[in-house]
Amino acid sequence: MSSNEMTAMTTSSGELLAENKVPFWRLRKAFANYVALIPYLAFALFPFYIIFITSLKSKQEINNLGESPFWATGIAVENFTYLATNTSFFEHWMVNTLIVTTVSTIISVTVGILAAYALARLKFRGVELFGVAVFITYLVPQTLLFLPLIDVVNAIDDYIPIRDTYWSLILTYPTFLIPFVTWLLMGYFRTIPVEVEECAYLDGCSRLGALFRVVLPMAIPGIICAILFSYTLSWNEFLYSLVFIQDEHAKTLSVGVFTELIRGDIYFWGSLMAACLLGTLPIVILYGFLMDYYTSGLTQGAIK
Amino acid sequence: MVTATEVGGAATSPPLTFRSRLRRSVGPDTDGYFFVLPTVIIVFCLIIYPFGLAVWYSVSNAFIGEETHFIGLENFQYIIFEDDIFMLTVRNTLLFAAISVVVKVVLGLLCAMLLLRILKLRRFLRGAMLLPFVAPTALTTLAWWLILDPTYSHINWLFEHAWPFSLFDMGPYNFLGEPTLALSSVIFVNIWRGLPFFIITILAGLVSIPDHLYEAADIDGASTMDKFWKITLPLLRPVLAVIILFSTIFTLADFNIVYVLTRGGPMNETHLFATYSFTAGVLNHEIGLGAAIALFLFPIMVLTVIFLLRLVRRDSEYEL
Amino acid sequence: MSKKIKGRTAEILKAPRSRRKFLTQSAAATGGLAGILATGIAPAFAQQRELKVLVNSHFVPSSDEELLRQMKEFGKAEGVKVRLDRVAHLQLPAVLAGEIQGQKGHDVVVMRNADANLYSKHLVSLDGLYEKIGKAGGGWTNNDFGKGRDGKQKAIPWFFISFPIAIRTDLVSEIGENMPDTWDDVLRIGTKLKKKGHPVGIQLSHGADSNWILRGLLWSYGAKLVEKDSKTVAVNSKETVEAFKYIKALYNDAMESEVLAWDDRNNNVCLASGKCSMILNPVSAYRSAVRDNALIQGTQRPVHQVINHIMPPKGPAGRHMAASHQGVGIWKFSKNVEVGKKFLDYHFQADNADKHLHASAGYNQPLLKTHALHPLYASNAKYYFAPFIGWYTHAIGWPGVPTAASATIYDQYLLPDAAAAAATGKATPEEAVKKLEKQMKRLYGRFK
Repeated sequence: MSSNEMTAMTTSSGELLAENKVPFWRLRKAFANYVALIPYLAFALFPFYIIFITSLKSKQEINNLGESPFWATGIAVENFTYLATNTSFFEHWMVNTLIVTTVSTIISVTVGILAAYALARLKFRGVELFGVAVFITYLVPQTLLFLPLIDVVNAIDDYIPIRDTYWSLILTYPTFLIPFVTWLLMGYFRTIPVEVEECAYLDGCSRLGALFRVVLPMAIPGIICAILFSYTLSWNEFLYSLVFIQDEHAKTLSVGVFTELIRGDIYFWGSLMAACLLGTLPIVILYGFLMDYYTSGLTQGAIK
Repeated sequence: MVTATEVGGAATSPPLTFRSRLRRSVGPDTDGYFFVLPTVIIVFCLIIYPFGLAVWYSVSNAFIGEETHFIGLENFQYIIFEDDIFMLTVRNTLLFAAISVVVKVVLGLLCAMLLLRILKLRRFLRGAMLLPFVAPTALTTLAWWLILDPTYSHINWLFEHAWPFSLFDMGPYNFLGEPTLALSSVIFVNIWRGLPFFIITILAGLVSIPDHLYEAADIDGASTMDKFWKITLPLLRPVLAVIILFSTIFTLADFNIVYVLTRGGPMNETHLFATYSFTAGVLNHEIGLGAAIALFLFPIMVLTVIFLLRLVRRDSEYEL
Repeated sequence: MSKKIKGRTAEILKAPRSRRKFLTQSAAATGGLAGILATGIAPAFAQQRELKVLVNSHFVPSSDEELLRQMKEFGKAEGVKVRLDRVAHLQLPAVLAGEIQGQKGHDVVVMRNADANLYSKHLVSLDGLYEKIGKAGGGWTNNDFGKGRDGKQKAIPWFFISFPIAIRTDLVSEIGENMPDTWDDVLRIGTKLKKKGHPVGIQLSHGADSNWILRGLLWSYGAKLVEKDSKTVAVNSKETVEAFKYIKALYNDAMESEVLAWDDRNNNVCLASGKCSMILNPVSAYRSAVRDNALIQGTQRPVHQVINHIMPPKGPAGRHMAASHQGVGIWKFSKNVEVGKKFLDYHFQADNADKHLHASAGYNQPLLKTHALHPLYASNAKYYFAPFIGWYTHAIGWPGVPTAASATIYDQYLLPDAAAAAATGKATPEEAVKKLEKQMKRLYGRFK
């Protein structure tokens, strides 16, 4: 079922409710549902509230442990201006993170689409072994890989300077993205009926033509889901960028914040929280637009 | 299943040309190799080769900046028989994964079913709920650190000053300093982060259960509980199995939360595999030991996943 | 196999014009988006010589700024580009590990504690420079620091960071006590003040502070981790047990369990917020109280006015405290060894060294005799301890010298873990000491 159908279904049942006269006990029950969700919402959003309110506090206010930490007495922009003037938050960290996540997502999803298609549709010797191998590589823990990966990055660096640039991340992020994307998309491709491709072949499409013109348009929710997942995973990545990048101007968001705003025994809590706030925004906006695809892509691909 | 190439007119006629012989030996879709080639290259160079290197490290005395020699299974011997932190790590990782996955499933079901009954604002609520999952973990965990920090703890402040709590003599709790509490805090933050993923996916699964099944059950006079156990849960099981699988993989290998929140402390009581192998291999320079520790996680992961995959396979029979 | 290509690539890269050509070629080859993005790495190609310096983020930011200013000035005069990278002090080991593993990275690197001995193989010998700077500066105050395993000088001593007691003088006089002079005083006064809600704050956790303070405590109890030969593990002694018993008493009577979760910042906050009565910390705790103008709770009085620094406490075996020693070294794999040396020479000139000390606002303490009585210390009564605390402080590894093994013990936080186990009752002091000995022997065995 595509997301459209899904939303259609929910709205139709919603209309159904609205058309009939709603009895009072039903209203009360609905109200109870909303109320029951409040504790969870509070739990989910509490840290974000703290991030928000702390980013507005002055240093003195944060360190005043007697005052309520839940309210700011004034609005201090000093934390944001500190980020802008004293760190490379906007001009480098944010930009680097965007570039790294975007490029490694594009690479991983493209490569993943090809592999997943082969796994889902094509028959050749070793395809099953390949499927198992992809899945197993997905289970190799990142911590096991990063030390040897330093050697790999350095070996490449002898020919193309990638060390200490975001290229080292673009190169290494696909290690944890591709197996996942392949696996997700493989499931999704299997939900698409084979007949549509057969029609495409009859119309004279090549294999790639059929993939791009017929299969991919039908797999959009799955692909968007894969993109979002890759985006989140690489936006969140911490370990590789901690080890591969020391140049302040080449750092990504989480590591930049972590290494530049925690200075010895002094923590710039206000700026840290301001950075959390700003660093979360782009990905939240992305999800805001693509949420429906995400959920349907995930469930569809996952259950096959 | 009819493969695409056969329809496309693949020759299977007697004269054995090179191509057809090739086809016979490797299957009808020889171009499949080109499709998987990029993945194979990347997986080989960036996963399998480093993995092999890591296996070599684990049986060596690799130490940062020193010469490396083969020492057999000494590292494994050390972590299993002598290193009590490693045993704690195994315990923590299993507790961490088991508790947080179970809680996430139960709360996820609960919240998703509540959310299903809500028609207005559902999109907004769903979006708001997803926030913890999409925000960068390293950064949000910093916020939790501020909240749970022994000196700043917002929660202790609440217990001391805010009305209903201040009546009882609660706290102050040492969320990150007392071993059991610290492990609980780490699990708590993991649940906070992972729960939205469960809710949203379960909700999507719930929405896809056809209404007529419930209507039929209503006609048969089934109770709400019956409907949950006989319809909802069986139909959700494939979805559940998959998110449990995802979540288990992520949780077992989690690094960020523990690294930011406790760095394995107090007294190394909250290490997970990832943080302990990072600590041993990098901070403590003993690469060999770090690799051996990280390598231990691998069979645990594979076994867990095989077990969960079996569940998925079996459950696909339930599909409509 | 790769040597040939390496050589050729290096040649191509040397000539600026062909370099550019190579770049456009490779950009064209990769094409499209990758080509556009390749411009991102253009600077890495285009630089002729760049001096890259790596330090841990200084606890007083203005110190890093002064260092960068000097680097820029030096770069202008020498016609080299300069770059200063900073990492958080707890992440420094990971970064150094990565650089050694790959034999690539910065040129000049900060070498803390016994790092120079640990990474001895990968650092160039700075014997000549060490002597030259030492002579000009009236000699070094500590001649053991920065030595490699081959006996050569692998790091130029930079500065040390000392651990006086930062104490709330008002609270001590309120209970009619004098300033604590011995560890027993600390326990007695701390116990009294904890009852009034002002505990002592000494970390028993994975933080740098904990590592140093506990070493100091052990030494002043006559205990030691190793013998003077720097090779024989000597931690299993009744002095160590005594010291652990003291820690247990201090933890139970004068501290709160939150010290188990503290990192290097929490004791500062605890003091500045008005909660802690005393901590052992470098002057950064006082400095940040001044900068944030933290007030004593419920009053308008800035807390820094009532904070003072006193000498670390005395124990049965005298007054001893550990100090973090920092040095600078140059990687052997660096392509700019000579430039690096030149820069160090420049940076350690009396005038520049002086400015660097100044910029750290009393936090960096000199290891050169001529700087010992820096006018800065006379500028504020709260720094009076500074010129003298050096008499009582030692680098890690004392009574031996800083060695690779001692660095590993330090990096693994073995002492804080053992002390915490003894303090919380997870192990008896005797058990904790025994376990510590076992762990230490394993690591010392590695470096035989």
